[in-house]
Amino acid sequence: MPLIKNDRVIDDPWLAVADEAEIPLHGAVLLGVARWQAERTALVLRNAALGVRLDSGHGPEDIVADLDRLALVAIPFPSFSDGRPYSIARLLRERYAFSGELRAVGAVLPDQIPLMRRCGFDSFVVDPAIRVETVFECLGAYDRHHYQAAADGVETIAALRRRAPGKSQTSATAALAAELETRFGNLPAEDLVAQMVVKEFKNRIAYVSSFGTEAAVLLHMVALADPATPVLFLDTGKLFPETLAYRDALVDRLGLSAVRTVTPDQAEIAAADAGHDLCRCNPDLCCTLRKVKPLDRALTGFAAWLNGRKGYHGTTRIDLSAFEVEEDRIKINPLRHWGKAEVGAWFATHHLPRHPLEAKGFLSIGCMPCTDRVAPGEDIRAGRWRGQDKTECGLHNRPTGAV
Amino acid sequence: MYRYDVHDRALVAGRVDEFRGQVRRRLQGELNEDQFRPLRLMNGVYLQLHSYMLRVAIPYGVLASHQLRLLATIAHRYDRGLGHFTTRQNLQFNWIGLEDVPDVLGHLARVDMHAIQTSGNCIRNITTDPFAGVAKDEVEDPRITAELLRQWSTFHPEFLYLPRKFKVAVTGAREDRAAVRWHDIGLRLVRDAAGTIGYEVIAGGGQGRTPVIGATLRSFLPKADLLPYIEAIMRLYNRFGRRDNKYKARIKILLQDVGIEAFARMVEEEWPRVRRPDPHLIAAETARLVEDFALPYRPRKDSPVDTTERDLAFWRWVAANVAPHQSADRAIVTLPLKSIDQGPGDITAEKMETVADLADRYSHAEMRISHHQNIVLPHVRWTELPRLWETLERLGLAEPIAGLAPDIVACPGMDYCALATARSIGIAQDISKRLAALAPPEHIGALRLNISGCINACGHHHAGHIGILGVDKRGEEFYQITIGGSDDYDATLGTLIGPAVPAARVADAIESLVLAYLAHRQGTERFLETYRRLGITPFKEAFHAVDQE
Ligand code: SF4
Ligand code: SF4
Repeated sequence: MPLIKNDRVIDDPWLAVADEAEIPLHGAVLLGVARWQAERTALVLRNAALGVRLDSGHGPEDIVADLDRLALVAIPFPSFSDGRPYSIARLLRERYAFSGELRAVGAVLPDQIPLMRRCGFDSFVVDPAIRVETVFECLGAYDRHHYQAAADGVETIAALRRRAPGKSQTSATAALAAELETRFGNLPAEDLVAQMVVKEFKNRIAYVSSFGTEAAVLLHMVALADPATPVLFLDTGKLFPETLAYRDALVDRLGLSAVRTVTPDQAEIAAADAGHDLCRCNPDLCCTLRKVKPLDRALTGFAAWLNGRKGYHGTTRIDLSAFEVEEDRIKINPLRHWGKAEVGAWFATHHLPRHPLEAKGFLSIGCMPCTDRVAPGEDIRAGRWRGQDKTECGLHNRPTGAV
Repeated sequence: MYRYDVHDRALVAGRVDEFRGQVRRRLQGELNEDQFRPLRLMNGVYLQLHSYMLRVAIPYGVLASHQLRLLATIAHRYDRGLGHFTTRQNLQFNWIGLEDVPDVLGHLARVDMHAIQTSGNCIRNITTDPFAGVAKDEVEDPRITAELLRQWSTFHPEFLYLPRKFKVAVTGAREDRAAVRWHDIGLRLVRDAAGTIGYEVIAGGGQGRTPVIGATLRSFLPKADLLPYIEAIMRLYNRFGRRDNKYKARIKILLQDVGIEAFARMVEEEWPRVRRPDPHLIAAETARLVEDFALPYRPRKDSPVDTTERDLAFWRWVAANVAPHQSADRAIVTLPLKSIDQGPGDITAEKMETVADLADRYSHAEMRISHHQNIVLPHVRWTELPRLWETLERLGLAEPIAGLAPDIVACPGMDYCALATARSIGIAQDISKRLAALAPPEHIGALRLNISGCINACGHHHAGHIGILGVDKRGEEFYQITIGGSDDYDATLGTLIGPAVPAARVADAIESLVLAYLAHRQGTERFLETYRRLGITPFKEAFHAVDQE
C-alpha cells in the first residue's frame, strides 16, 4: 500500500497492529481506537510513538483528551462516498488543534486527496492498483482557488478579491469590452444606456456631446437613466450661438444636472492660433487643440463614455461595435444601428426640441468656420469641412482597439 | 446578475481540466465505474436510460441571454437539439456522449457556467424565487443570500460526500415561490420586531418516498450568523445522518430520529464553535453582490397610462402571465414551457435562441427559470407588453396559463429516466387536453398539478394541489392521485384520494375532481381553498363515481 506524505511516496514507519495481535515492545504502532481505550493505561507507559485508528462510528470526542499523546490519527474511509472523515479531520485540526499526522486510509481516490488535504489530512494510503503518476497528476491539477476557509489555511477567494488584480490594465479593459459586447451588445439603445449608466459603470461614465442636431436623443436616454450622469459639452470657442442656446434649452427640458463645459487650454490656443486662422490652415491641429485634447483631459477618471455615433452618418462609419476600447477606456456606441428614421421617430414620440439651425439647412453642426449647409439628398456630413479631405473631427478616427 | 471575476473563472476552469483527466482515465479503463461514479456526479453527469445525462447548473435560476444562446449551441452540437428545464431551476441534456462532456463543460465555462454539484450527495444548486429582485412583495433580494451560499457550498471540502443529496432554497418574499418548506434547508428572509432583517431557518423538508414538510429550526437568525449556523447543520448531518439505507439518508429522517427540538439544541451548541468567516470579507462580498444584483435601471413610482383598446386575448394573457414589478413602469412576464406537443420544461435549441433574442429586446438580456419549469422575463416595460405579447403569440409562448391547471409540473418519467415506473409527460398532455375541453383555464383558476414518474417524486406530486404518482402494478402503469398538497409557506402534503387508476383513466379522474370543485366553490375561492373548507369527502365521491364506471 503506497503511503503518500509531503507529495512523496514513502515507506510507512508505522506498524499497524491488528486488534488481537500482540503489540511489539518497541517501535511506532498504530492501534484501533477500541483497543487504545481498553489498554490505555498500559499503552501510555510504553515508550514509543503511538497512533490511533479512529474506526467508523467513532469521532474526535473519543480521543480529544489524549490528543497530545498521539503522534498519528488514521481515519478510515469506508467507501469513496462516505464523507464523515472530512468532518472528523476538520474538527481534530481546527477545534482540537491536533498537530500530529492525520492519515487517510481505506477507500481513498487520488482525486479526493486535495479535498482531504483541505480538511487537514496530511498523509494518504492509496490502493496499490492506482498508478503513482495518477496520484501526482491529481495533486498537481488542483489549484488553490477556494471559496471557503478550511483546515489548510489557504486564503479564500473572498480574500483574494480584496487584493488589487494583478492583470495589466489594458488587456483587462479589452477583455471587459469583449465581455460587455457579448452580454449587452444586442440591447436596445435605451436599455443599453441605462444598463451602463445605472449599473455597469455607475458613477464612472460620462456622455460626450456637441449638442448637435441629433444629440437630444442620447441626452434624453441618459436623462431617463439618470439625470445626474456627467455630460461633457465640448465648447471649442467657435460654436454657433444657436448651439449654446440649444444646449441650455435641452439641459433645462431634460433636467440634466451634471453638464460640464469642456474648453480648450487658452495658453495652447494663444500659442498656436494667434492669427485665428488655424481652422483654415491646419484644421487637424485646430481640432486637436480644441476638441481632442480637452476631451482627453475631461475624461480623466471616467472608465467609459457614451457617444452618439451612428452607422448612417457617412461611408466611414458603418460597422461599429457597441463597445470599443480607446486610451484604456471603454467607448460605447448605443446608437450604432440607428438611422434617420429612428432618430426622427424618437424626436417625435418624446416631443424633443430640434436644433434651431436644422431648419436653416444645417444637418450636421460643428464649429462655425467648418460647418456648411447640406443640399437636400447630400450626405448629412457633407457640410463639414466642405472642400477639404477631412471628414472626421479627430475624436473618432484615432487608432482604436475596436472589439 | 452575479458577475464572475478571475477567481471564479479560475475555479471553474480548474475543475473542467480535472474532469477531462478523469473522463480520460475512465475511458482508458483506469477508473472503474465505482470509482468514477462520485467524480462524474460531482460534475453533473448521470447515467440514465438511453445515455449519459448532463445537468447544467443555473444558479438560483438566473440566466443571461448569451448563456442561453450557448446552451442552444450545445443542444445542437452535442444533444438532439433539445434541453429540459428541471424543477430545480437547472437544465438537463439527455443525450450527451461521455467523451463529449469535457468539451461541453469547457464551452460552458466560457460563459461562466458549469455542472458542478448538480448531482451526487452534496449541496445542490441553491434555488429561489424566480421573481427575486423584482417581486413587489419582497423583504430583501434572496439572490444575495443564495450567491453567498453558492460560493460557500461550491467544493466545500467537508460536505461533498454527504449521506444524501442536499437541497437548499431561499426566499425573500411574502408569497413563497420557492417552496422553502419542501427543502432540506429552507431560508426565509424575515424582519424581527425591531425591523432587522434575518432568516427563519426551516429544515428537514423533502419529497421522495417519505414526504415531510420542513419544520422551523429557528424563527430568527441574524444575517451575520448564517454561514456558521448552516455549517453546523451540515456537519451534524454529515456525521450523524444515516448512511446504511439510502431511503433513510436525507436529513428529514435524522430530524425525525433525533427530534426537531433536540436537533435544534445540537445546532445551537455546535454553531458558536464553528469558525466564522472574516466579517470584513463577508461585508465586502455582500456589498459586491448587492451591486451585482441591483436593477439595471432606476425603479419608477409612476406607471404609464395606456388607453389603447386591446384584444381580450391580450388581457387574458396579462391576467395569467404578467406579475407586478417593483418598478411601476415594468412587469414580470412568464413564458410557459407547457405546449401540448412537448414535455413540461422541454425546449428546443431554436426556441432557446428565440427566447434569448426576446430577453435582449425586452428584458435587459436576463431571464429566470422557475421551479415550475417556465421561463420568466423579469424586466419588461408595460408599454412594450402588447408588442411582446404579439411576438409570443406567434411563437406559441403566450398560453395564458401561468399558475393555472395546464401549467403542469412533471418529471421526465419513463421517456428518459431509468428509475421511472410510469410515464409522466404523456399523462400531462392527456390532462391538458381534457381540461382545455372542459373550460378555459382562468375559469378553473389557480390549480397546481404535479406528476412524478416514480416514488422519487421529482415532479413534486406531494406538493401539488392535485398530485399524480406513477406506480407499477404487476407490470402495468397505474397512477395514484393525491389532493390538497401545497408548496406555499402553509405547505401541506397531499392526501390519497382512492385506489390507483390505469393510464387511460387519469384524465377522467382529474376532470372529476375539477368538476367537483367547480360545483362547490364559493365566490372567487381557489381549488385549494375549497378543498380546505370542505375536506376530502366531496372530491372522494366524485372520484369514486368515475372509478366505478
Ligand atoms: S471644427 Fe474647425 S474650428 Fe472646430 S476645432 Fe475643428 S478645425 Fe477648429
Ligand atoms: S420521479 Fe422518478 S421517474 Fe421521475 S425523474 Fe424522478 S426518478 Fe425519474
